[in-house]
Amino acid sequence: MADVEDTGRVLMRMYVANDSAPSTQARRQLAVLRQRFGGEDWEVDVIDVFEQPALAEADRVLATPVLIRLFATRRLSVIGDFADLDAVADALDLDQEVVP
Amino acid sequence: MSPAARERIQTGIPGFDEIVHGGLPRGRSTLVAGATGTGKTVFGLQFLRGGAQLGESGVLVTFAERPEDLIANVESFGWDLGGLVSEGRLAIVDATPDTELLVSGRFDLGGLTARIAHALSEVGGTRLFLDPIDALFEGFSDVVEVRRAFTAMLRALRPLGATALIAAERPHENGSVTRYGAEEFAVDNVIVVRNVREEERRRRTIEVLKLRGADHHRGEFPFVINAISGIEIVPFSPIEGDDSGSAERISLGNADLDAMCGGGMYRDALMMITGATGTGKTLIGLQFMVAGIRAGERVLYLSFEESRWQLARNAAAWGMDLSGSKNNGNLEIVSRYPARVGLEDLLVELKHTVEEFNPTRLVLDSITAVEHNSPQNAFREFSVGLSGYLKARGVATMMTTTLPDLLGGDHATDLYLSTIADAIIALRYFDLDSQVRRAILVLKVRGSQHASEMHEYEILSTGMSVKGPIRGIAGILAGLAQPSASANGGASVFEP
Repeated sequence: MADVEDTGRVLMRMYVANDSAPSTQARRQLAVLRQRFGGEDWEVDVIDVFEQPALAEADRVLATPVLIRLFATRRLSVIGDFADLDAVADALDLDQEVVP
Repeated sequence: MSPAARERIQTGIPGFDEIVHGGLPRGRSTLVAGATGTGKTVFGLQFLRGGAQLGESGVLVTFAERPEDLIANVESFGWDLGGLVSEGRLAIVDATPDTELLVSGRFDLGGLTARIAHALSEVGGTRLFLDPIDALFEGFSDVVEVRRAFTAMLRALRPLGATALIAAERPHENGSVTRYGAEEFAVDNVIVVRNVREEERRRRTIEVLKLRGADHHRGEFPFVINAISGIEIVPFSPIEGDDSGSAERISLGNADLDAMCGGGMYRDALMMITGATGTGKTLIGLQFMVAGIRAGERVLYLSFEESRWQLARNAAAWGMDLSGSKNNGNLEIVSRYPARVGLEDLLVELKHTVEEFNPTRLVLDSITAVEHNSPQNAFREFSVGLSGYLKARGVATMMTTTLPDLLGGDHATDLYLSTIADAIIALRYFDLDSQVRRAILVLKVRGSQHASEMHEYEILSTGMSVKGPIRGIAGILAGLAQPSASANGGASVFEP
């Protein structure tokens, strides 16, 4: 996975739990996050834990929704419906906010 | 479904199913609360292993310890959890939380719910153990939010029908049931395990606080954790007892004693022999043992004061041969110095011995040896528990107690043991005219006429020999022998 970081791409995985209220809200907030932080090119896999529990197991997911940013040697995670997008961006080491 | 009709499942924890009248209700959830080191994890793992032995698969969700550590921890019990995993009878969900997490906004435990459901379906699991959930709470700052999410998870898992145990920490032995208010979860049942210090010793107990819609035994039940079974409830209280008394009489191995007791003792009775050292308690026990062997019975002799060798030597002096060739394997002599083990452990060990050897007669010589260095209430529980267990099993039991004073007197041990005993024989020294002599009195034989007079006896090379009733002397039982007023100043006068 070393190339992930080298090419400067942002690779993320978001686990949601079907259409629960926090998961629905998180999908919306993800779209806003991409808008505000220049995420047009991010690769984000959105995975429903109930449809793909084996993937949730492999990533040892407990809480949902959870947004995981994958790096070559580490990962950063944020849990919740991403109420505070600045904090989310900060925790995931995303670039400076794009000023429109 | 009515509570009575709900199917129960065997937990695999010896003695526990009796407390809850046959096992835990299937498909329900049970909180197992206890402070650190009380045995919650062992309880849950034993539940999963017990299920595997009955062909029921299970899922372990571990929040604090890594799966490999848990597996290694119980290897000392001979439990091969790793083997169960590779056989597909156990699945382990590693739910140890990441510590560096940002939480922003609302969340649920959908990931964990999906993983548990997935694991249950992978192994066809019907048992579930969550251990311990506190680590989950420590991973998140908002306790109220986690509690809500956890309750929702339990509700979501409920339709899967697994019988669930949920371990939770208690901050202190007293006070709230759990640290994070886990009792507020939608659990059906609540169990509390304790490990408290009582007069310089640790004591483990288990208590069922709540069993939804079903009856259970109340109060704290002591348990031990040993290398044979893991957790085992100490049979202090005869939970399953058969009250139908036996009418059959068995010989004490001494015609004089049999006659004094109205024809021997009942087959399911507990007889107590009380007296100072040297009065012949062991001799009576040995005679009782020999009578059993001669009748083709299986006899267990528990010697708490003498080694097997000492006992055999004493027996040989009375012409009894304790060597194996004479008894066809029907005699088992177990010598223990009980001061070295806890009373709970001793009781469980004795229970195992009784179950393995399956005796019809048992001699315990002497129970007083157990009393030394034991707290009074613990000893009381032990003796009541042991005698209750033996009576429930219908083992003819002879138990000796040693009086501290050479000349008579009462002893606290006797006071409560005497309420349990079906028959009591008191042996006393008495001195009169510079001579020390021996007296025997049958104090009680439940359900029988028995001799009510004190008799003199002698210990001969052939055993115990009872002479006639003692007349004209009072105060022997209390150790204050003196010619009675009615005897006109004379010394002891035997019946012609």
